[in-house]
Amino acid sequence: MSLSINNLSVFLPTGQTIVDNISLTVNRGEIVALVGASGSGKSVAVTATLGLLTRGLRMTGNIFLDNKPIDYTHARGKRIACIIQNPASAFNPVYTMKQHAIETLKAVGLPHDINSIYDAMKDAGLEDLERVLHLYSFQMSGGMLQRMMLALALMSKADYLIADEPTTDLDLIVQSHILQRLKHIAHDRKLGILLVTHDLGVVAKLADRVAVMSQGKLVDECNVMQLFDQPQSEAAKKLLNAHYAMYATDINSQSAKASVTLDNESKETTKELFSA
Amino acid sequence: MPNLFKIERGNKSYQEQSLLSRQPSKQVLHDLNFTLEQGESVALVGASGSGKSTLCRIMLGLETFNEGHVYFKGQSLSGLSRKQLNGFRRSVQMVFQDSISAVNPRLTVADIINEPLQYLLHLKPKKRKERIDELLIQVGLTPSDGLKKAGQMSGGMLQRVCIARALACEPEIIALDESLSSLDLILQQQLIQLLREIQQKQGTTYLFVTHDLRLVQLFCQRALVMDNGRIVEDTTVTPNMEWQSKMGKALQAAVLPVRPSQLEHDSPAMTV
Amino acid sequence: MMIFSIKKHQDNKNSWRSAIPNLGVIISITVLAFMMFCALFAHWLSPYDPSEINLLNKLMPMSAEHWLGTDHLGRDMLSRLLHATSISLGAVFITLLLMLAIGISVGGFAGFIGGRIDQGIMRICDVFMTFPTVVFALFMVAVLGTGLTNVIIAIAVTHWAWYARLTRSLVINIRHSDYLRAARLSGVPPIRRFFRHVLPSVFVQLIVLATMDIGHVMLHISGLSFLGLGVQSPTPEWGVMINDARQFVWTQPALLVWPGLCIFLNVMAFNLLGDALRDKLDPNLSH
Repeated sequence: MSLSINNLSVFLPTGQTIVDNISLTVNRGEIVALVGASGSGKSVAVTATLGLLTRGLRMTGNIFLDNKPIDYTHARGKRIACIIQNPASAFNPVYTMKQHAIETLKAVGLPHDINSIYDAMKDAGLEDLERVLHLYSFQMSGGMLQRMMLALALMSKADYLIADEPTTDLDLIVQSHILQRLKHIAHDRKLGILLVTHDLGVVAKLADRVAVMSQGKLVDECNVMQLFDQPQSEAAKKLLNAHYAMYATDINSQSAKASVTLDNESKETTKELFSA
Repeated sequence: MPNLFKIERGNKSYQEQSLLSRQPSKQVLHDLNFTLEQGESVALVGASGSGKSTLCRIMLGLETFNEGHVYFKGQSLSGLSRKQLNGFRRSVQMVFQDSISAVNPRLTVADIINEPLQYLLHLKPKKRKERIDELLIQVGLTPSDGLKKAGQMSGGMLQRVCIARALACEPEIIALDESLSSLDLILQQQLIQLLREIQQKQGTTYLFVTHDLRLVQLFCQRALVMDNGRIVEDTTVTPNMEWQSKMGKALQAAVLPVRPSQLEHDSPAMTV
Repeated sequence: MMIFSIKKHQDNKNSWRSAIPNLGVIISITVLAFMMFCALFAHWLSPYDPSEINLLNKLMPMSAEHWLGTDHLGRDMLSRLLHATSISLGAVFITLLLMLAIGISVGGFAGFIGGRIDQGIMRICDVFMTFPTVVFALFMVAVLGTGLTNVIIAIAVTHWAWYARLTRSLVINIRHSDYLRAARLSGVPPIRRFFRHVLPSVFVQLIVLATMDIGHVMLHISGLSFLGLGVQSPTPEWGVMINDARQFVWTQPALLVWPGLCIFLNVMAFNLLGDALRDKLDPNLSH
């Protein structure tokens, strides 16, 4: 049971390639992180998977869901749910959360069952559910909106979830809660999650497997422990260096456990950063 | 020698305006009292809504307390003459969170950096041009980037421009209001490197407004933890420190792990 | 293995869609340039004096001497249309200027000042926004008499409030933006801040809306003149000319068609221009 992206390529109208022949599989119950620096094409790859490319972009390749080719009108939102970076923009400002929930259930063809709405909201980490259902999007904080978006995704009973930088705009405490919820949801509901992020801390917290993109190409795909211990590609090494550079105090103890081979240049940089 | 900054009994509330009725006011800052000394880089940490950005803006003179005072080097920020205000602005600058909305998209990069040079330093045009080129190189851009329009540049490059603008008058303090959080990791690291260099070369102190404790560990000697408009902890920053306040502990627990934990199915062990 | 063949479909859609705005801009600019030219040089371009009555020549069809024929008083249609162009376009621009001037000052002031004064001004705007244009024009005419000036005033009075509202919200948005704060931190003095940072973006957005409103204003002026409230005969104006020609609709329909066509072309051209300007200048719409 898996979501499989095969030989996906995306082209600009001018013919330039933004995503170059990537292939990726997400199994139900596992979290796959798609990482890369900004401009690596990871967000485009994911919007292509959902069939939501902007006008003018062309794609080739195919998407298989449980070994059958996908029909976007039946898959998007129903079999594959998604949550995005800026939660406020995902909501219609004139509808309450309850109206959004009902619309989601209708779109998926599920009965309007208040219990399933409550269940999804609880799973997403929301509290005071009755009150929240009557709120409008502008009355809610970024964190609450992101949780509501997650709840809507869960309500649709989709088997797979694509999360495009879901916590980048949120503060660390809220981020931590939401990531925690994603982990539980993947394991309890057997959801397959494709998580797009540039932050290796998120990867370390959540991911089972990691795929690294650089300049449109998939340059690395491995188990998460392997990425941190023995990164193969240059892109992965660069990301790791940037990641370790954020943790001033623990570099000595942590990297002693790992055997990350930093090339000489980045060793110097890291030394410099910590000696000041 | 007077403290660099002294905040006394600071209170701030916002009130919705209405023609006929009195609307309830929302208090965002409660009774703040603290001092900052010269040379120490300080962090204002807290979750969103804690009031840290508001406090930062008040310290920069962009807003004022409803009650209470802000003193910079012994002088109150209220009632400064234009000349004194310019002197203050030369010493204290700020880099905002979102670089794209912190610049006028119609101006060129050179125009943006030119403003403080023209209005705070009153330099002659030729000198200004030289200084702009100097600043662009210092932040890792090139003089030809000065001709580009701000609306055409990426967030990462624009943040460098904003840092160049803040550096223009060689200020003593630069406030960074979550300036790195919306950038990708590699860009963040490059800018951290840049900020370190600036600190080493010019002895600038930083006021970091952030919720990311990793940055606090990298740069600051002191941290003020804010929760719901109050300062709940005032502590020195040491490696592997234990935070005392509830907010401090919560932020510490929320820091993302350096490495994945070996245990697959439990919540990941908190490392840093 | 399925290959998605949306490629071809998307390409076709693209070229079709992007052709339309370009065509629109070309048409509108051509029409408007032509109209402006006529308006500016009406006096020199007109073969005859527009008020020269010649009853022997009345209701003549198109001919070599009178390219568009003559009206019921023997006046040359072409000359009348040319002069009408200058009067109509002139009146429209004056009205627009008045609406923008009042709207920007009041709205800009309200936005900048904030607080109770802002709220008070907005309530006054609400009152003005409820006036229907035609009713107010009737009132003005009843009090002050007919004439183009009164029509212009009536239209300006009933429309300025929209611009004031818009200006106010634009100013408020900008006031809280980081780049204005950054300008303060850079020591830029307040007046300079207003002209350099606030006004340009406010102005651009207003101009786009104003352009789209021109058609609307033009219809009001012609409409009110048609009703006899604005320009009076013998002054040539499209609405007046249509009114005059009503009785000849079966005998000489051309008399109705020419001024009607002028109104139609102008309003359409301004609307297309407004659309194109909005597409080009509105940052929210650009990819």
